Amino acid sequence: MISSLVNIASILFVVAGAFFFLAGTVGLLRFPDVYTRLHSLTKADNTGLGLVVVGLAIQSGSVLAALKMILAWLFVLVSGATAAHLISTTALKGGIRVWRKE
Amino acid sequence: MNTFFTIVAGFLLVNIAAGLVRVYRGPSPADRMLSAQLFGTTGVAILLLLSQSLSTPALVDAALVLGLLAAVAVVAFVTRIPQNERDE
Amino acid sequence: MLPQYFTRRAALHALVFSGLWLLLTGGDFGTWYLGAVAVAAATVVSIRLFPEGPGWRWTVGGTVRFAPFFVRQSISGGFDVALRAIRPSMPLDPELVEYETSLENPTALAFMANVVSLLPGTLGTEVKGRRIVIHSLVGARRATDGARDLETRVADLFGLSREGSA
Repeated sequence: MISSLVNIASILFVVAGAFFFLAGTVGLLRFPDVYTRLHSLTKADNTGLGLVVVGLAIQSGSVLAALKMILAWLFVLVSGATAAHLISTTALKGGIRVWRKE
Repeated sequence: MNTFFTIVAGFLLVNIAAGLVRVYRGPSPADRMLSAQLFGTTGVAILLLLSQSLSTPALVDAALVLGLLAAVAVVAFVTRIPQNERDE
Repeated sequence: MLPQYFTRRAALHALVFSGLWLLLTGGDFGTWYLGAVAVAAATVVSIRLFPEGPGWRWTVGGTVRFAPFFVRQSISGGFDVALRAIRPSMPLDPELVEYETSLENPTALAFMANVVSLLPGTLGTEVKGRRIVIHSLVGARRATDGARDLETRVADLFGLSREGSA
């Protein structure tokens, strides 16, 4: 009973996470310039990964294993934010123009 | 349950493949670099899912390393590649 | 040069690194001698590279207050941009906003410029002096409000008393 409830919660979290990954990729392909694409990729994928990690962590049955997955998420958060900042700064300095709505 | 995790991992792999379209189209080097971000984040998710479905805890370590390496790739990119060679 | 490694701060760093080592090895004590070397080396490097400037330190209370705010905001940021990407009309109206912070500490400023990118609708770009150029999808007003709120929390996290008025 409890394990099937955990399974359902786990499925919900992982499916929600996969949805955010999909949205991130859709944004990467649809959005008009490098800055808007960065918004999409950094934020949507980080949220997606967080949800997948929660779904897997409640399934793992070990606190250490769960914490380790959360650590992987934190690494990605930190490196993702730094990378987004670096790419956008370099693009701006390199003269890539910001897309504006007509 | 394990089948479910494997299917989601496969779905995320398709996601990465779709992101390759952005690498192909560009237009600027910065746009292409975004895919390194995509590979990093999505790759970590795939490895974590597979670690569970294949009962291979070592894949979590691989995920940790991948998460960190994606950032190194970006740092190398911004310091080495001139940005203004091509614009929209 | 030795005494600086026997402070309360060094002990705190060593504790955090030990926890990290334990996590990475999956709670296996069999390799403690390697862990001890790694923890000692990491502590020395972190104390050397992050000398505490006058008037700031990473506060534990600030971290506890910052973490839930950060998780909540980054999830809502993901939600916001996912909706923009998925909706057929793709509502985008980006603009560049300059925000002048009162944070004088360079570490706090760099931290803020990074975290801005994970909040809803804002992306931190160039940092010029104390001004952060923000690429905003939510208009100038909301970007500025968000940045001001974040600034207060970063100051709290770093244990800074805010200089000047916001």
